[in-house]
Amino acid sequence: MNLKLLNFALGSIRRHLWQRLLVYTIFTTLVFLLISIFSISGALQAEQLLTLDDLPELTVQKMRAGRQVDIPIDRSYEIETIPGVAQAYPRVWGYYSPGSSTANLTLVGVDFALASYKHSFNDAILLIRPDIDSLGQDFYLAGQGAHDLLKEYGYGELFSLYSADGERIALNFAGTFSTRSSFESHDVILTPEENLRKLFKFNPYLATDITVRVPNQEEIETVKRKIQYLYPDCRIISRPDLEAAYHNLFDYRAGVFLALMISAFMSFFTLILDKGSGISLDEQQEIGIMKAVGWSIHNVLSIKLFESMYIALFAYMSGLTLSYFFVFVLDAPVLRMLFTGASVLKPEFQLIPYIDLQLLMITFLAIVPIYVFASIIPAWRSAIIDADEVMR
Amino acid sequence: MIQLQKVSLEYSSSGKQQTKVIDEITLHIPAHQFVLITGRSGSGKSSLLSTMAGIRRPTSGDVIVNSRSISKLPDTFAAEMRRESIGFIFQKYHLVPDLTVLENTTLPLLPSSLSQREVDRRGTEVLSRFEMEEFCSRSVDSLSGGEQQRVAIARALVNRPKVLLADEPTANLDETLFDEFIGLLRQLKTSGITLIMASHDPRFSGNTLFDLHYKMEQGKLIKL
Repeated sequence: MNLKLLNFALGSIRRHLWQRLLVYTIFTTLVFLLISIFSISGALQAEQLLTLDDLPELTVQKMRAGRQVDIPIDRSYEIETIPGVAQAYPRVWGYYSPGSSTANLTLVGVDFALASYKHSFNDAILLIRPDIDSLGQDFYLAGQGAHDLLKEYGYGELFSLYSADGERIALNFAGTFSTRSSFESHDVILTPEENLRKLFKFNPYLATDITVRVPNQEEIETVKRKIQYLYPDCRIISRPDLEAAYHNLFDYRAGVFLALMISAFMSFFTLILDKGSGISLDEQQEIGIMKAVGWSIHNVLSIKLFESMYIALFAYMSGLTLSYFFVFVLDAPVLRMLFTGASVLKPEFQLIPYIDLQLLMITFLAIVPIYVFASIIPAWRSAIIDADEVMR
Repeated sequence: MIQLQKVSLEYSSSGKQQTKVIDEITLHIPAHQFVLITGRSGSGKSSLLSTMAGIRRPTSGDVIVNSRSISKLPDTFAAEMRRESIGFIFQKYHLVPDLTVLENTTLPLLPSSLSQREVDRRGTEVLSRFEMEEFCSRSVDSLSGGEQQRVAIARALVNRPKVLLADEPTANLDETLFDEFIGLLRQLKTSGITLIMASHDPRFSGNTLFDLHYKMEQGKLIKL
């Protein structure tokens, strides 16, 4: 490799500094956006997988006139007799907006004496309050987001909830809990089931829905059919249905961003094409002079290759570094909000740093060679013409 | 040294019409000769020089430099030969505006296998012949016309060529600079180089420096 030509290529960048700086800036921005968006999407999908991991295999909801209504608890006993069912858990839960807030907290009733329907909740509860049995009934555990919101609205150690007919239920703060996936715990308040029954005026024989654990994946569909046969008025949602719903949500958002990225790409390629369709008169003359004084086409293309590689690689590394800093150190302000949706109480999870080599490779191949070719082709066009014609 | 065998050059002008600029010229220029080619503007002098230097390929015929056919060589070898054997002084100097004096001067040496230090040494050496060594790091944009011309000549000589081709080198020179240039040619003559110069500058008429004098007319060379 001719180091003098490498050095000359560097000098050429300095000589056309503003022009090259513009390309570098556009290039860096594009790489930054592309990698940031895919990194956030990837981190969210990893979070989503953790959430899905702890979902019950089946959720049974009673329907009337196309709307969900409360379901008799005794149906859970019958469901538990179906072969393959490990547990049928009647859940009591609902949404509640504290004070003048428009944010919805998810209130989940838990029988702390029994195993919860969710392993992640069990683990979290036991981790922060091993003395749970001694707490009595008037307490609550809050996910971090719910806790922050309650503090914001002036609820300290005591959280007062009001039922539809004005009855006050006062709960003492017993701690914050978290799960592996902050999606499933962030806006959640766990409290003994009785408190929710009072708050939501639940009939003691009814629950919001019934979750069903089926350890053998092969049996899920059979169990689902049997429950449907037993209770034709019920809607049975299986885990794959929920997984598909989650995927759709994220794929939709990723799709929207992809559409935006395609627009950005189009702009980039238009710029590149514009660059490719011609080369400045000064640069043409420079190429002509080089050829006239004894440079070959190969020499001319070498410096153009070095020059475009310098810019492309430097911009790629800059975009990559910026995006990792933005996503995994700054936690992707703004962009993350766009991805996680418009709910008032957004999950405050930490994006886990990871290096997706496939993503880096695809981004690299999608941008760097195109720019390099777009730089070389016009130089090649000028270089193959007789030098004195180019110099005129 | 340089041989032209039935060399023709045609330009395709607007439309598809072909204009013959060089018309089957056959010529032999021995080594160490100083050759002057005169003729009015547009007579094809510059095209002839470009063709001799291998900067432009002839439409037909053969250009032989140092017993090698430059017009039939692949680009890489033709470029190498141009770099090693030929120096060219352009009418408009054709310096690269953003490069320094030294960078412009050493431009022909960059593709060579010489080290950067050797390249710079040769550049400084040739510039010192023209008392330009103090200008090494200056941009050529900041130089006067005469200084630019000296840089252009230094660049043509930096590769120690056997043949120097000069296209209207005095077109932009006043009397003082013209005399300076004549002095330089005298120096070159003693160095044993072969010079082929195209000019329509009347100040060269009757100059005894030149061994051969040709006139270009309608694409043909006429020996005077």
